[in-house]
Amino acid sequence: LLYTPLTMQQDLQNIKIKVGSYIQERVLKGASKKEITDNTALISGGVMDSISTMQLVSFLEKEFGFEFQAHEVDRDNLDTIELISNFVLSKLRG
Amino acid sequence: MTFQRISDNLFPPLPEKANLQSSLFSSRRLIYFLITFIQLCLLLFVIRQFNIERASGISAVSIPLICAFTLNSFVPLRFRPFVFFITAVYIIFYAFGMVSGLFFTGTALILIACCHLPVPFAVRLLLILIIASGILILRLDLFYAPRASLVVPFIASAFMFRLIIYLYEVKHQMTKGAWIQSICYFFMFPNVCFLFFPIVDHKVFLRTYYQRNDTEIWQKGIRWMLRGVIHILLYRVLYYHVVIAPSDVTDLLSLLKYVLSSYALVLRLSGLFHFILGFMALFGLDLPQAFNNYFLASNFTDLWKRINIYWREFILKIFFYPVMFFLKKRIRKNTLQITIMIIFIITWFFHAYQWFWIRGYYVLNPLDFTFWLIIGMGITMSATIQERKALRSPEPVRQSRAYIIRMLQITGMLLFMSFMWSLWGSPSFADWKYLIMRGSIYTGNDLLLILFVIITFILGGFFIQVLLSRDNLFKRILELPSHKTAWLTLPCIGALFGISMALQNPQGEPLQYIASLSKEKLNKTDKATEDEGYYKKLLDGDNNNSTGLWEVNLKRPRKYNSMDEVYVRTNDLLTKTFRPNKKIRGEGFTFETNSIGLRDKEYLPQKPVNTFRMAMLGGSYEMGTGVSNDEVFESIAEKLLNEDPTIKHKTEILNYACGGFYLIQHVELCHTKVFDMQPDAVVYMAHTIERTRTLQTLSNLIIQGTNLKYPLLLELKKISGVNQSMSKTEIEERLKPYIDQVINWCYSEIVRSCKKNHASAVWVFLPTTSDPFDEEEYSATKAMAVKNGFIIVDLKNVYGTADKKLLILSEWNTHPNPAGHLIIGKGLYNGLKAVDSQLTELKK
Repeated sequence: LLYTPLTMQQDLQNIKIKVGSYIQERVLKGASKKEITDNTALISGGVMDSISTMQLVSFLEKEFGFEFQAHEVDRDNLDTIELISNFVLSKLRG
Repeated sequence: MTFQRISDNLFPPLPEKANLQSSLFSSRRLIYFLITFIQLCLLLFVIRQFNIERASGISAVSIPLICAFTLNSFVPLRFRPFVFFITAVYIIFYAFGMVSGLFFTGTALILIACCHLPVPFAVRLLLILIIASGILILRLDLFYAPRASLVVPFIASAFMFRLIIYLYEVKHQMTKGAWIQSICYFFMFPNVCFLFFPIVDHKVFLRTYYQRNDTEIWQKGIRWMLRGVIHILLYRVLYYHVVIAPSDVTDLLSLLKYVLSSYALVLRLSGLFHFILGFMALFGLDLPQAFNNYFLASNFTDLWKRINIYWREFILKIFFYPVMFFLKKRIRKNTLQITIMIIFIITWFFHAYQWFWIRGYYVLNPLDFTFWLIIGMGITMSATIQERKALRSPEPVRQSRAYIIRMLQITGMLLFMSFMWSLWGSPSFADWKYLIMRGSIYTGNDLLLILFVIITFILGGFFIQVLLSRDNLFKRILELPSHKTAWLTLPCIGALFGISMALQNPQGEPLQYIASLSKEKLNKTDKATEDEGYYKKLLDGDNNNSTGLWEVNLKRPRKYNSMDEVYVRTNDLLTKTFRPNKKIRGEGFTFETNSIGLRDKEYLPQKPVNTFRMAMLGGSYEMGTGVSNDEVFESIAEKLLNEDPTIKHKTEILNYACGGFYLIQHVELCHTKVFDMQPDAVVYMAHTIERTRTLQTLSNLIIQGTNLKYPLLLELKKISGVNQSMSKTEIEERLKPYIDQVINWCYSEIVRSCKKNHASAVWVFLPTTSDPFDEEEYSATKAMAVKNGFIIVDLKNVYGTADKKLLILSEWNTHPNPAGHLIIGKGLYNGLKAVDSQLTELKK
C-alpha cells in the first residue's frame, strides 16, 4: 500500500481508537476515574505492568497482523497511545 | 566557524536536550541553587556525624563532590557530562591511587571501545569476553597483581550488569546518546563508593538526563538523599535495638518479632539506593525510584513491582521479553507461567553472579534456590490470576470492603515475606525448621496480642486509605511534587544537623540513644556469628549469610583466607594441625611453623639443663593471627622472662596454639602431643565468652560427625539427644545446660594429665579485645580453675586504660595487632614472673 499523508493521518487515528478502546476495556476495564489521553504514560505511569504489556503486544500482533521483536517491547514504543500508534504505523509501513 | 566545529565535535550538543538550555544565572535558579547547596552541605555533615556508610568513603570525598556539583550546575549543558566523568575519574584516582586508578579507567574505556569497534557484533562480543576472562582471573587471584585486583570488584560492579544492557542496546541499535554519555553511563561516580548499585538501564540513563528543569531534579535528589539517611537510621534502630538472634526465639511472639524485624532490615538497601539515586539527581539524572513502599505489597506481582525495581527492569528487558517471545512461537499453552519460572531461575543465578563478582566466590546455595523458587511460584500464581481476571469484567466492590481486603492482603504478604526472608538468611533448612517449630509455643494471651496488633494494623491502614481517597492536607503533602518540598526537607535536614551537632557531647538518655545510632558496628548477634564464622571457616569454610555480615566480608582483605595453606585437616577432635616447616606471607606479616608443626621457633626435643619449659594452649589470639612470629605475645613474654636478671633459669614457652582450638582441642593435645616435649608447666589461656566458644566447638564437632572419643562427651551427646542432622541452633540449645560440666571436665582433664606428667597447670585469664566482659562467667570459670588445682594468672586488666581500637588489627579482624601483643606479652611476663617461684618449687 502507498500511504498518502491524508491516509496516514486516518490510519493513525484508526489505530489510536482501537488501542484506546483496548486499554479502556482490557487494562482499565472502565474502572479508572482518570482520563486516559493519547499522551497518558501507560508503562511509566504504572497503568500497565509487564503482563498487561505482553497482553497488549498479543492484541496488537493479532489486530494489525505484524510480529513484534523482543527488543521492541519498550517504553519508547509502548508508553502512550500516541507512541503505540506511531509504532504500529511504522511497522505497517514496513 | 572552524573553532565552532571542533568544539561541537569535542563537546557535542546532547540529543533531545537542546530546549533545556535555560539561563544559568537567572535569579530564580540562583536561589534554588543556594537552597540546594545549603541542604547538600548540611546533609553531608549529618552523614559524617552519624557515620552513615562510613566505610564507603563518601564522607572523605564530600568536598570534591560539593565542588563538582557547583561546577556542574553552572557550565552549559553540553559540558556537564564531562564534569560528571572527570568527577568520577578524580574519585577513582583518589580512592585507589595512580596505578590502580589507571587500571580501572583504562580497562573501563577499553571495554566501552570494544562495544563500538567496526567489526561484526560477534567479534566485539568475543573481545569483551576475553577481557572479562582476564578480569575473572584477577578476581579469583589466579594471577598475583594486587593493585589491579584491588579495583576488580569495582570494575565488576560497574560493568557486570550495565555491559549486558549496553551490548543489548548496541546489538539492536538502540543507543542514541552522545559518546560522552555512554562513557558516563559506566562511570557513575557513587559506584566507586558503593559496590551494591542499582542496575540503571542505559536508555533510562539517557532519557532522564536533564529531562526537566534542573532545579526540580536537585530538590528531588535532596529529598531522596534525606529519605536514604532516614532509612539507614531506622535500619540502625532495628539492627541495634530490635532484631533478636535466632537463639533468642523461644515462642510464637519472639518468632514473629524475629522474622518481621529481619525483613525490615531491607531498609538499609533501600536507604542506600535512595541515597545513591539522590546524589546522581544533583548531577541531572532524574532516575526513577528503586523501592516503592515494598512493605505495602498486596500480592506477589505487586511485590515484584515494588522491591528493587531496577533489578526487575533489567530482568524484564534482557530476559523476560526475549524468553517470552521465544516460547510464544513454540508453546501454545501456559507460556507466561513457564517464562516466569525460567526468569526466577535466571534471577537466582544472577544473584549468585553478582555475589561472585563482589565477594570473589560463587555460592549456589540450595536455600537461595528455594527462596527464588517459592517467590517465582508465587508470582506465577499471581500472574495467572491477573491474566484470567483480565478476560472478565470486574465485579463492583464497595470501596470500604476493597480497603479491608487490601489490608488483609498486605498483612498476609508482609507475614509471608518475613518468613521467606528468615529462610533466605538461615544457615540451613534444619536451622530454619527448628526456628519455625518454636512458633508452636504460645499462650492464649500471646494469640490475643497478635490478633490485636493485626486488627490495629488493618484498621490503621483502612483509615489511611480513607484519608488518602479524599482531598485534604495530608494527601496534598504526600503527593507534593519533589521540587516543591524544599520547605519540608530543609527543616528536617536542619533538625538532623542540630542533633548531629549535639552528638558531639551527648548529655542525657535520649541523646545517648541517638549517639548509639551514629556508630557503624555489628549487633550482638552478628558479632557472635562473625566470630563463629571466622572460626567455622577454619573448620569447614566460610558460610556467613547473616544480616550485616556481607559488608564485613566485603571489607575483609582476601589474604585473610591465606591461612588455609598452613593447615592439614584431620578427622579427629583437633580437626587440623599445622604443616611443619611452612612459611607464608600474609598482608604485613609472616607465618612460620617449626619442625614439629608449632607456630614457634625451633626447640630441642630434649629439654636443656636449667630450663623451665612451658607449653601454651590457646586459639587464634595465642597463635597470633595477623602478626609475625616474633610479634606474638608468647614470644615477647618468653624474651622478657629470659632477659630478667631476677629469674635464675632459662624459660621456654612452646606455643601449641592454633586458630579455632578451644578447650576440647586442648584436652586432646594434652593427651596426645604436649608432653612429648617434657614441659614443666602447661599454660591454658582462658578468654571472655568461654562458655559460648566451648559450646560452639562441641556443636561443630557433632555437626561434622567427629568421634567425641571421651566417655563424658559421648555420654552428654546421648543424654542431650543431639545428632549430626540437627540444626546448629538446636544442638547448642540442647547442650547449653551441660556446658559448665564440659568446661569443668576439660579443666580437670588438663590438670590430671599435667599431674600424670609431673607438670604444673596454669590458668591464665586474658580478656579479648572485642567481647563484652561477663563478670558472672569469669568468676564461675575462675572458681572451676581454682577448684581443679590450676595456678591462677589473672590478666583481667591487662589493657589498662589503652584504647582497644588501637590494639586490634582492623575493624573486621579484632585480633590484637603488634601493639596489642606487646601489651599482652608484658602482662603475661609479669603474671608468669609472679608465679615463677611457685612453679619452680613445684618442679622441684
